[in-house]
Amino acid sequence: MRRHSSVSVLLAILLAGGVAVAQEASPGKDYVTREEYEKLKSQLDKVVQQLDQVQKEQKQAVTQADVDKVVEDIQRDIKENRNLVNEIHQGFNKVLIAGDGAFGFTAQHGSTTTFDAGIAPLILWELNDRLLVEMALDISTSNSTDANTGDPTHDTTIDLVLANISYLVNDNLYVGGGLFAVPFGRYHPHFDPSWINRFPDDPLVFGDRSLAPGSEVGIFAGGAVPIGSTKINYNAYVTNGPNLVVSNTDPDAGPVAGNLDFTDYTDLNENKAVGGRIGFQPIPELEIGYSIQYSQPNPAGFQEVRALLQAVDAQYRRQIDAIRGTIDLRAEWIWSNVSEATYTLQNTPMTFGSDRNGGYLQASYRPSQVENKFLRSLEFLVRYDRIHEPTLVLADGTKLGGNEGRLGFAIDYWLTPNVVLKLAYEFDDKDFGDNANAFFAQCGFGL
Amino acid sequence: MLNKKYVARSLWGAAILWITLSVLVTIGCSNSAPQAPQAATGSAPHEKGSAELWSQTCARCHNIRTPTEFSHGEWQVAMHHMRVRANLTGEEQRKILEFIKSAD
Repeated sequence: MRRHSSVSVLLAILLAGGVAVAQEASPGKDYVTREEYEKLKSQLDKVVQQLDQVQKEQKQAVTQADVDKVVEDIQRDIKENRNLVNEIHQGFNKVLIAGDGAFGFTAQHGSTTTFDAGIAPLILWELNDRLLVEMALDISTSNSTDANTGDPTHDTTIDLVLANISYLVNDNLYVGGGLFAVPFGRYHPHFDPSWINRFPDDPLVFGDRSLAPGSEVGIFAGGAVPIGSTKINYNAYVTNGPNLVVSNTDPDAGPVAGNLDFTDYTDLNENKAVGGRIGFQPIPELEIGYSIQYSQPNPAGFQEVRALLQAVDAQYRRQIDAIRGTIDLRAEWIWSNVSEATYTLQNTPMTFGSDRNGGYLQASYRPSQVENKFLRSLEFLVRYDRIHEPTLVLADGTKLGGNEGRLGFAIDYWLTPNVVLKLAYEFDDKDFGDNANAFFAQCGFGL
Repeated sequence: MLNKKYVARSLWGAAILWITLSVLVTIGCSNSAPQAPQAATGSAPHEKGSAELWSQTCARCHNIRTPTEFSHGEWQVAMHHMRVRANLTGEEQRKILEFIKSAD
C-alpha cells in the first residue's frame, strides 16, 4: 500500500513536470495562463498532501512501544518453550539443589562463647514422574578435645543424612528405600531445617539427649487419603533401628549406657525396627498424630532388650483477623521405654531399665496482616521443652541422667520467606550441674 | 534463695506476658490492615481451590516461596519431593503445582 502511494506520488510529480515541459515546448508561448497556473498549483498541492500522508503513515507504522511489546511477546514465548522443554526432558536435567544452612553465635553459661556455621545441601533428582532420588549431607564446624594431648581440635563434620529413592504408586501411596527421614513425630521430618525451625536450636528431646530417631536405613511406605473435608496421612517403615549403648558413661561422648543411639545406622543384630505414624486433619488448621516404633536394639550376644517409642504431636495454625496476624501452636511428647538389662559400668554390674519421656510446646505470633512492612516481617515465639530421665548413680558417685527443662523466648525477623534472623534467650533448669542459660543469635536460610 | 516453684511460676508468667505484649504492641503500632484471605474453617464440605490449598498446606511448615523463585521444571521436582515428605495426595500435588505455574 505504502509502495503504491509512493508510485502515485512519483507519477504525479512526473505528470506535473511533463505538463510544464509540454507547455514550455509549445511553439511561440513564453508564459502560462492563469488557468494553467491554477491547475498546476492544485496538482502540486495534491502531491504535497499525498507526500504528507505518506510520511505520516511511515511515522505511525512502528513506534518504540510496538517494538517493546513484540520483544516482550517473544521473550514470553521463549520462556514458555524453555519450561516446556524442561518438563518433558527426563533424566539429568531434572535436578534441584535445595537444603538449608545457618551461622550463629552462642553465649551459654558455663561454656565459651562461640560462632558456628553449617550447611545441609539437599539434592533432588527426579528420574521420571514417579521416581525421585533424595540425597542430603550435614556439614558443620565442630570443636573437640584431642583424647591424647588434651589440645583443642577443630574439625569439619560431614554426615550423610539422606540417600533414598521413592516411587509414587498412585495418588494415595508411595514406597521407597534407603536412608530416609523417619516419620516419627513431626519435628525431624518437617520442622528441623534452620529456615523452618523458628528457634536457633533443637528441643531437648531432639538434641544430644535425643529420644527420637532422625534418619534410619530401611524401607518405607506412606501417603494420604482424603475423607470428605478431612484427611488422614500415614507412614510405615522397617529399618535397622537404633542401637543400645552398653558401656559409655561420659555424656559428652554421646548417649550413655541404657539409652538408644540413633546416629549409628549399622545393624548390630538380626532384628529390625518397625514403626509408623498416623496423622489426622479434622480441619485444615489442625493436625494431630500418633507415632510408634518397636525394636530389639541390643548388640548380638548381649541380653535381649526391647525398646518401645511412642509419640503424640499436634499443630494448630490459623490466621486471625482480630489480632491481625497468624498464630502457630506446636506440641510433641515422646515416651521411650527400654527394658531392663545388666550393664557393667566402672567395673560394677548394674541392672536397670530406661524409661524417659519429654517434649516441647511452642507458640508463635506473626502480625502478618499489618500494613507496616517491618512489623509484618517479625515473629514472636515462646517455647517450653522438657526431658524426664531417671537418675543413674555410678560406683564413683557420678550421677547420670536427671530432668531438665527450658523456657525460651525468641524474636525472628524474616528478610525473605526463606532467610530469617533469630534472637533468642533460654532459661535452663536441670537437676545436676549448673543451669545452662544461653543467648543465641542466628541467621538461617533455605536453599 | 529463690524457691524453684516460684521461679517456674515467674517464668510462666513472663511467657504469657511476652505473648500478650507482643500482640498488643503490634496491634497498637499498626495501621488498619488490608484484609487477607481467610482459611476455610472446614465446617462444611468444601472443595479447596488451588490457591487455598497452596497457602494452607505449604504454610503449615514454612513460609510461602514466591512462584518465580524456581523454573517450572524445578517446581515439578520440588512438589514431587513435597508429595513424599509432607504426605500430600496426588491431587493436592497436581493442584498446587498448577497454581504455582500459573502464578509466575
